[in-house]
Amino acid sequence: MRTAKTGKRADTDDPLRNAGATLHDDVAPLLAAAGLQLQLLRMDHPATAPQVDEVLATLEDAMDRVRKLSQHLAPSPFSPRGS
Amino acid sequence: MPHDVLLVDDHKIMRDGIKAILGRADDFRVVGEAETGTDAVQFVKKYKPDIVLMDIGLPGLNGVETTVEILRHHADCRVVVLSMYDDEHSVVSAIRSGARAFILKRASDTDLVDALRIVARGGSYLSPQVSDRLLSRIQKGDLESKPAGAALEHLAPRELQVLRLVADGKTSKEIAVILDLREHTVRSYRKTMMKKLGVNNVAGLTQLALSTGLTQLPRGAAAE
Repeated sequence: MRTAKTGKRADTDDPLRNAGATLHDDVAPLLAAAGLQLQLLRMDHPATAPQVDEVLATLEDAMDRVRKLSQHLAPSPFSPRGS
Repeated sequence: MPHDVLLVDDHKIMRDGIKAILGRADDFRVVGEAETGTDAVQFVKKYKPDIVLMDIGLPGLNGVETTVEILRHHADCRVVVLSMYDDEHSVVSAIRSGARAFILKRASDTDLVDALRIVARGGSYLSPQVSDRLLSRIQKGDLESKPAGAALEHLAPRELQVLRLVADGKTSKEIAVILDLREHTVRSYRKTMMKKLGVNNVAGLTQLALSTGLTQLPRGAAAE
């Protein structure tokens, strides 16, 4: 849960939890947005599909790792361990 | 006729990407964007979109709380939750709040448009990665079916919202603004909660919220 003061989950006394929250709240959305932009590129330029798919697969791998690490460090606010 | 969609995400870059993807689909029209749950509720009350595409991790009112609020004002609205979290607690919380779909944010092939089409037809949708995991957990018999904190089980969704905001240090007046309620209504919720939870003051409510993981201490608070 984000704090009332700043609305940011990455604002606690626990540096690991802060790192996890930053991965989830800041890094992962950038990766997801990059994925959306690549999907648009593929839609608009179908000839690029093979290359785009390769980049998307790499990006997906990165997102999965970020997701796992962020959930380990800063669990979902809906989980019993969550903030 | 296209379905009117409201996008709710605190990252503009995500809203832009989703809007561009939906712009390629004739059957959806993005009619509004909101950065916060409070703004989303206000938009829904005024414009009554068909579908709300909702990030679960919003600042302030989170996506689950915002979904409850939206459906309270516009019961026919179909809420689709987008999430980076793929744990069952997030999924169950979203579905319990009334969301019709839970989509995992991914980089590659997004199931976003497919999910929106299913929901627009009156159906429900879970991303395959999420449904596979849930199925596996159900088969193992270890899916937690109760929300965290048995003490909070008897609270209504609105009371949980108020409890979290009280524990976050908000006054009744501030909570009234956030939840679009009258101040005396918030005070009434507080009294009812205290009675249900068997506590006598705000400190007790805060302690309970902390112990159940409903909220946490802000930076520096532990040293105060």
